[in-house]
Amino acid sequence: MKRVLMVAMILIAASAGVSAGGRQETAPAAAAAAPGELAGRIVVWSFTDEVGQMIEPFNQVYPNIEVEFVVIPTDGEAYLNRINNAMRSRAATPDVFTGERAFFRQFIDSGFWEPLSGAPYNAEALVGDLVEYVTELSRDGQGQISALSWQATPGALFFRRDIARDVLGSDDPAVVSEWTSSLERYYELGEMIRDHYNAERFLLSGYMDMQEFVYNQRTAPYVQGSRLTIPASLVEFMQVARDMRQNRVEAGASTWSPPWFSSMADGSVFSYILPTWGLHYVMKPNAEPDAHAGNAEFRGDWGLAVPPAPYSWGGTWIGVSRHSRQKDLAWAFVEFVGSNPEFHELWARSTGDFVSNTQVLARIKDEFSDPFLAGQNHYQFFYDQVQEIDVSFIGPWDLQIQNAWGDQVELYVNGQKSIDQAIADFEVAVRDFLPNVTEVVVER
Amino acid sequence: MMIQPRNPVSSIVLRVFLVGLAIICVMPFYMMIINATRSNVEISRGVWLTPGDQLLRNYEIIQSKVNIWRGFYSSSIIAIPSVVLSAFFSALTAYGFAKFRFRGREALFWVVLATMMIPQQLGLIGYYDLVLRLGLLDRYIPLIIPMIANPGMVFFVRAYIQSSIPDSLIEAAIIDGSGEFRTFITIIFPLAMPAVATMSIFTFIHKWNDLITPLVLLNSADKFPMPVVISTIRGLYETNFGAIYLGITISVIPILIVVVTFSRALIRGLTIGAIKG
Amino acid sequence: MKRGNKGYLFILPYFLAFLVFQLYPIIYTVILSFQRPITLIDMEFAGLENYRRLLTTPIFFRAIGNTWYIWMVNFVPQIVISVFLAVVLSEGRFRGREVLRTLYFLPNLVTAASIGVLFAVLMDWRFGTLNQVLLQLGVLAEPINWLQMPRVAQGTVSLIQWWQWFGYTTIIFMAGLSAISEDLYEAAYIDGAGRFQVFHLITLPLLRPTMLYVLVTSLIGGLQIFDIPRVLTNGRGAPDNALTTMVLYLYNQAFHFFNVGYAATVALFLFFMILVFSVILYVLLNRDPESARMARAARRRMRT
Repeated sequence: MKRVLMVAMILIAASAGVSAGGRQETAPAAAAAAPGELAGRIVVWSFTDEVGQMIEPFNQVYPNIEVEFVVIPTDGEAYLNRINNAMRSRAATPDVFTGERAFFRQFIDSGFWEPLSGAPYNAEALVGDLVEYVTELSRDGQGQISALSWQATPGALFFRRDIARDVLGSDDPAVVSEWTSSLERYYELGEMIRDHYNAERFLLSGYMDMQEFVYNQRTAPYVQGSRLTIPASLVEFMQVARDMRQNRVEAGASTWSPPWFSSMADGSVFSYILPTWGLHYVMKPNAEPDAHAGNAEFRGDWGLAVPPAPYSWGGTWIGVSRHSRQKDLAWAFVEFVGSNPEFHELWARSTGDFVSNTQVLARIKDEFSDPFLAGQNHYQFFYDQVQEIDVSFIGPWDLQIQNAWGDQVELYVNGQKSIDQAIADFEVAVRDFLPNVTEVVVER
Repeated sequence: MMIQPRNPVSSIVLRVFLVGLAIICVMPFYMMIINATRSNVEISRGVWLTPGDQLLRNYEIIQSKVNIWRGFYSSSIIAIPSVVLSAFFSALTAYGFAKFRFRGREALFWVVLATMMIPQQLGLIGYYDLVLRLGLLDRYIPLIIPMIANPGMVFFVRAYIQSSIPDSLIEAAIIDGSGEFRTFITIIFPLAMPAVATMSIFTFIHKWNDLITPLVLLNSADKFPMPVVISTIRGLYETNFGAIYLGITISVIPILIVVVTFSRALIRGLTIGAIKG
Repeated sequence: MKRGNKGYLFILPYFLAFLVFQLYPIIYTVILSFQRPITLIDMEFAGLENYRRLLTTPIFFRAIGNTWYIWMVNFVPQIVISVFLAVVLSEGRFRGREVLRTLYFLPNLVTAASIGVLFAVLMDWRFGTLNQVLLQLGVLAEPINWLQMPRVAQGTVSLIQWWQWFGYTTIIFMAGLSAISEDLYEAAYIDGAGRFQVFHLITLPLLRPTMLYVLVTSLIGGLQIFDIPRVLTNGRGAPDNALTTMVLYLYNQAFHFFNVGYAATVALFLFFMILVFSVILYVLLNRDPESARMARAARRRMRT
C-alpha cells in the first residue's frame, strides 16, 4: 500500500514538474500544488557548509522533503574521490551533489549529473533569468544544462584607500580604476607606491595574485585537438612577475599562505585580486577580524576597482545525480537553490553573496552598501563586471595546465632558469598529463 | 645492561644531547598547542611561544561548525576494537609463524609482508567497491574487522617471539598436558606482551589519525571520526588556523593519554620480559 | 596431526580476513593497470600501454631517484641515533629516561599533514622564522627561498621524516633489547669484555631480528613517502619535481590528472621494487653470522 502511494506520489510530482517547468505563472495551479506533495528524503553532499544553510528556506516551500546534508572536506581530493567512487559504483546516494569550478567540468564530461534541459526538468526555461556564463559553463557535450548555481563569481580588485589617497591623491574607485584596468598602468602604479613608501609598501602581496585575470586573458581553449597553445599573455605574465619581484613591486607572498593572509591586516599591501566571495570569506575575516566577528565597526579601509582584465574565479555548481532514485525530489532542491527568486533574494540579503538570478540582481543591486568598502556598492560593481565575462575558452584541463605554467613562472621569478628553459620544462610537465598532445605552441 | 663507570665529561655531553633532542621534539608540538590559543591573524604573522587569549573563540568556531565530541566518540568506537582485534590476532598469527613448522610457511609469511608494500591510495578505490558490494558502506565494520590482518604487527611480534621465547618453554608446557591454544593464551600471549603493547600503541595512533579511509567509506556526518571532523573545520575560502590547531590538539589528547599510560605498562612489560628471557 | 601443521590453525583467521578484505583491492589494482580512462570513471582495455608509458617517462625515473634519496638521507642517521638512544636509555642509569622516551615519541603522534603546515610557515622565504632569525644574526644578507632549492627541499623532507620517526625506531629497538638476557651481558663483562665489544658481539647480533624489522618496515614506509612532500608543495612536487616521490606521482596521476590506470601501473612497479629490496635485505640479515653463533654459544654455556 505504502509503495503504491509512493508511486502515485512520484507520478503526480513528475507531472507537476512537467507542467510547472515553464514560467510559474503559466501553470499556477500545478506549481502551487506540487511543493507540498513532494515527499521523501534526499541526501545532499557538498564540500563546504554553505548548502546546509539553504535547507531551512527550502523546507518552507517544500515541507515534506527531508534533506540530509553532509559536508565532505576537500582534504586530499577526498571530495572528488567520494563522488568518483559513488558514481563508479552507481550508488543511489547522494541524490544531489555540488562541484567546484576546479573540477566540475570533469563531472559534466563524465555524465555524473542528470542533463536538465529536457523534460521533466525543462531547465532551459530558467535560463533567461540566470547569469549567462553560469549556465553556459554547465552545458555538456550535447549542449544540455547539467547543473545550476546559486551564485555568479565575477572578479574585482580590492584596494586600500589610504594608499590610493597618498599616491594618487584620491580614493575614488573611478580614479583608481584608471590605474588598475590596464596591466601597464597597474605596474606603473606599483612603482609609484614603492617609491612613495621607500619599498615598505607594495602593489601586491604576491605576483601570483594576478594569475586569475591573466589566465582569463585569452580567446581560445588551450587544447584544440592534439595541439596545445599557450597565448602570448602568459609569457608576458612570466616577464611581468619577474620584474615585479626584482623591482620590489610585490611583497613575495604566495597566495593562500599565512603571510599572504596576514598582509591584509597590516596595511602594507595596496591590492588583492579576488572575486565576489573574496569580500565576505577572505578580505573581511582577515583584514578586520574583530569587526567581522561583530566586536567592532568596519573602518572602511577598502574599495573596489576594475581589474586589469575581467575574470571569474571559483563558484559552486549543484546538480542531480545520474543515479539518484528520486530525481524529482532532487530536482526540486536543485531548482530551488539554483534559481528560485525569493530564495536568491533572501540569500543575497543574509549572506551578501552575489547570486545568479538576474531578475533578483536587477531588483536589489541598488540597495547595497558595504561599510568594509566605506559604503561602496559592491553589488552594483559586480553586476557591471559580470556582463564582461567570457567563458567560451574554458576547457577541462585548464587548472592542470595553469598549475604547470605557474610552477615554471615561480622558478623563473626566483632566478633559477631562463625563460626558454622554463618553457621547455613546462612542455615536459604538460606531456605527463596530456599524453595525446603532440604539438605545444607557445606564442611569444 | 650493567652499569659501567664512565667519564663525567662525556656523561654531561650525553645529557645535553639527550635533552636537546627532547626539546627539538617538543617544540613544534608546543607551538601547535600555543597556536590553538591564538587567532588566525596572529598565527599567520609568525611563531609564538606564549599562549594567547583566543582559546574560547577558537572553541566557539569549532562548535559552530562541527560536533567535535561526537567525532571523538566515533574515533573511539573505531580505534579501540581495532586495537583489541589487532593485538590478539597478530599475536596468534605471529606465534603460528614463529613456532610451528609447516609447509609454505615462508611463502605465506611473504604474502603477509607483501600486503604492506602496495600503496594504499589506490587500493582504496577497490576497497570502496568491495565494501559497497558487501553492503557495508557507512558502517564501522569495514574499518575495524580487517584489523585482524595487521601485517606490520605480525611481523614485529613474530620477531619478538622468535628471539625471546625459547622452544623449551613451549615443549615443557605441552608435556605438562596444556593444549596448544591454552599454551598460547596462558604462556605465549603474556610473554609477548611487551611487543604486543608497543605495537598496540602504534596501531591506536594509526587508527586514530586515519583520515582517508573513513572519509571514503562513511557517508553520515554523525559517524565521522576526529580527523575528518577536523578537516571539516577548514572552510574552502576561510582559514581558521587557530581552530584547526585546537582541533588537532583536542584530537591528540587521547593519544597522549594512551601513550603515557601504556608507556608505564610497557616499561614494566619490558623489565619483566628481560628477567624471564 | 603433526604439531607443525597446527600452525595453520593459528594463522587461519589472519588469512580469512586477508582473503575477504585485502585481496580484492589488490586484484582491482592489477586490473586497473591495463586500462585507460575515457571519463573520470569509464575505462577501456589498453593492453600494455601504461607499462610502456611508465618505462619511457623521465619524470617517473626522477621520482624513483627522489624517493630513494629522501629515504636514505633520513634513514641512515635515524638508525644510528635510534640504536644509540635505545642502548643508552635501556641502561637504566638515567632519571627521567621514561620521560625522555615519551618525548622522543611525540612527533609521531600528529599527522604528517599538520606537521607539514608548521614547517611551511617556518621555511617561508620572506616571512618564515628561519630566514628572519638568519637575517637578524647576520648570516644572510638576503632571504633565501629554501623550498625552491631542490636539494634543500629534499633535505627538509628527510629532516621532517627523521624527526617524526627516530623516537618510534628507538622504542622498537628498546623492545628488541629487552629480549636480550641480562645474564649474557654479565657473562661477557665477567669474561673481561669492554663496552664496545659487548655492543659489537652481543647487542648488535641479537638485535638482528629487530634490525630486520626496522629496515624492512622503514623501506616499505619510506619508499611510500607522500604526505610531507604533498603538504610542502601543495601537491605539486615543485621545484621542478624535486619533491615528486613515487607515491606523489601516482597520486597526482590518479586524482589530479584522472588517469587511475596509469597510477595503478606506478603502484605495481613500486610494489615490485619494494618487494625485491625487502627480499635482498631479508637474505642479507637472516644469515647466521659468526658473532650471533658466539652469542648463542655463550648463552648455552650459562644454562649448563
